[in-house]
Amino acid sequence: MKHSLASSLASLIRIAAVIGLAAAALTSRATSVIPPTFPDLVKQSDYVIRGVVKSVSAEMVNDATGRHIVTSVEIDVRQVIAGTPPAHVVLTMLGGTVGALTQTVHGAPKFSVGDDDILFVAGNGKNFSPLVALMHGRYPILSDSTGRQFVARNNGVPLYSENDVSLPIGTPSPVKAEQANAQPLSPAAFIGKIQSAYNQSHRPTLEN
Amino acid sequence: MKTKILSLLAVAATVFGFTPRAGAFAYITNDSTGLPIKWPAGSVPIRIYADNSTKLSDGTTTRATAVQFALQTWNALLGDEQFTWTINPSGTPADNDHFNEVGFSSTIFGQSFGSGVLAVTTDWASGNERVEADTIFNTAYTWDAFDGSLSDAQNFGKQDIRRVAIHELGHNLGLDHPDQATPPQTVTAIMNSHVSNTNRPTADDIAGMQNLYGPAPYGSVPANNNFANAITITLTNNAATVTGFNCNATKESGEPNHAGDAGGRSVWWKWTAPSNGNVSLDTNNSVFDTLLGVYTGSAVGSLTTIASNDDVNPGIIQHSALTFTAKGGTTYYFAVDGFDDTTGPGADSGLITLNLAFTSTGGGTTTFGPSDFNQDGSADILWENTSTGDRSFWIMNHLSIGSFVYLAGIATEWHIVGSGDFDGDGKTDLVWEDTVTGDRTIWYMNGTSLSSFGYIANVPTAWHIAAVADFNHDGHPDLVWENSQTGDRTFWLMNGATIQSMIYLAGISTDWKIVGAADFTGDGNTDLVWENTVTGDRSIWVMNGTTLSSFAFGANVALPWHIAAVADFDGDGHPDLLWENTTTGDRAFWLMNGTSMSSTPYLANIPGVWHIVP
Repeated sequence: MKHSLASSLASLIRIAAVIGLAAAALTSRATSVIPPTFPDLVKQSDYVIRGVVKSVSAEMVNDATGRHIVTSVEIDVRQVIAGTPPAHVVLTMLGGTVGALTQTVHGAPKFSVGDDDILFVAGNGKNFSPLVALMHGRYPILSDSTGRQFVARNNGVPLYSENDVSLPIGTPSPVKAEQANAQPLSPAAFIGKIQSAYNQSHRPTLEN
Repeated sequence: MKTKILSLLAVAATVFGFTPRAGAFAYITNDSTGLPIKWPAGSVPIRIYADNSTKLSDGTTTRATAVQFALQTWNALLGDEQFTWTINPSGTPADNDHFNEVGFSSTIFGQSFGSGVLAVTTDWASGNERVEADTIFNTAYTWDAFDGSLSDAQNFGKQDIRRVAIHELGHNLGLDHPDQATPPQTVTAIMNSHVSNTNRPTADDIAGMQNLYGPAPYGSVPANNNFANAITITLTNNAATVTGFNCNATKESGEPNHAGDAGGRSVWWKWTAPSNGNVSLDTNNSVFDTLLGVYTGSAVGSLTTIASNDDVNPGIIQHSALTFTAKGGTTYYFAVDGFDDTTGPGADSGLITLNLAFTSTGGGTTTFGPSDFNQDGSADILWENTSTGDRSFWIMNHLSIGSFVYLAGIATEWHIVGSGDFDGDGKTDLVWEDTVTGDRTIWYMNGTSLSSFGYIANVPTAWHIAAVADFNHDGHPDLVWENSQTGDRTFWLMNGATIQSMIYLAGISTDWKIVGAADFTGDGNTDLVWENTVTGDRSIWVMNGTTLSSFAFGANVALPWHIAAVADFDGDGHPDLLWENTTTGDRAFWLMNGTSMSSTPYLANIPGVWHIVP
């Protein structure tokens, strides 16, 4: 087997990248949540959709583990990005407000009617939050002053690269730091990255 | 609407980037009122469900004591709240069972954690009050206790209970993630949504938490808890914002209910109106449901209510706001208390922000003569030694001498001829006259200390500045000149140290001298006090701006007595006269009720070369 200088260098770069990612994972774990890498975010999703919140309702639920407030968020699915969502998407999550009582789940996104989001959904109805890694599974679609739409993280900060999803939520984007004129990802660009990653993670192997 | 708000936020972020602010901390807020959700003052009992026998890798800590460490860490920082706890080796937190629990479990109340979730805090609130909070650590992870860097090899694959517990208990107390706030904040904080090498509360975390529960140590009482210790508010450009806490404050015997609510944790400020005017007062940016009351009077048990307010919008906007018409020279007391919903824990508490804005309508100025230099609500007395040139303050507590403050030694050819706020900083400045050269200058004061100098003009020495007060209602003190040879009197209408215009008043015999100016009739105009240096007659010219309206107050007092100063010495809102006997050195007040004398308390006997200056 021959190894060219170029291929050795490429291998070194890949190893360095892996070490870099591992170091990042070691030093930036979320208290409640470990931010997933972009491939993991896609892979851990049951499905990924772009949708607009149609309704938000909350109710009190009693079960063997106590009394909870459960909020149902009805989504008008505008685009199925990956996977197969049910015909009628209603996300259920722990927490919400019923009358004067509010139950808060710290770190969980809050939805309002009209919100336009890309959502990475996993374990809806089984997990206390139906989004992959809580706030890391929700990407609002916002508009700048010119009307151009862009993708943001859950705290409203623009997303400049799909790889930024693995950063702690308050960490500035290295892409923006290196390129002052960098533009946030458009919904189409982010959706394209998601679909590419989904296809990668679902590619048939020889063993299959 | 939400999308729109987020869009605006994003645009702002795009254009300006992120600007860290001094207080980057974030609160968990009540969506209805916008106020932080917090525990009522007192204690928060915690049930720890954790093994207390198996040592972690540091050899001393157990899971239970690691959680206990986090509780103790917050306790050391709080003024009116403390965690208490019991340790139970087994058990699992249950939701909405009225117990605050910390434990380890493979589920969140029976539901899966999902991927990557280390620990979750859920809490319950009713209105602005926290009523329950539970924290669950995910047993899918390996928990240990260590202070080192997360990237240390020995910590690989392990989670630190202590720093995660401090973070989660920060949620329990009311702090949210600053990096997820609106707008997001960039700050080093244990309350950020990601764990890092930060393993204890930072200055930002502490500031946010102490806004909710007051500064440590636990139980510390604010200095302005009692009416008698009200903190003086000083205006800058006719406005002031002050902050404080009512944590651990109490209600005094005889204290009124503020805005009709029992309250129970009141603190006090006071402010003396520099002239007649309109005041708006609010508690915006306070962290709790406030009560606000405005009073006059000298004792907490016998106050006169001027205005009060509970909520800007009852039950919705729970800050307080009010307006009232202020009378120049009157000292107003402001009480800020917490609303008591009578469910048991007492009045709300936390950080208070009190905002005052004043619009002068002119007149009523009492800054002529001995005025309130240290802004404690009592007019002070300024002395001049005609031999040595020393000048010194008597800081008064109304009619009693509080303390002495030395001002300066200045050549005796210079005399202080009046005082007023010439630079609009809310502090009384001094007007000087050089009786040899005719120079007139201003000492811009910072309380009882010289701040800087200003020059007015050089005017022939036949002219003397006889009074300083705002006559034309523009908020700026004006000068009244007196010609000792011709008897002419004229106004210089001023804008700070700059003359705007001159208005002739009258030609009056030089036997008469103007010895003071203040609003005796309460009509918003500044009146002039005259003294006949031959007959001993005294009179008040009731003015309408710069025009004589009528005469009042006829009195004849033997000539060794001179009116040395005019100010509201007893704090009743009416200007008084301070007399000086140039033979005996006796000084005495005439306390006035409008243009009538009501009593004559004695002040002191200071013989010799010391004289009170206007």
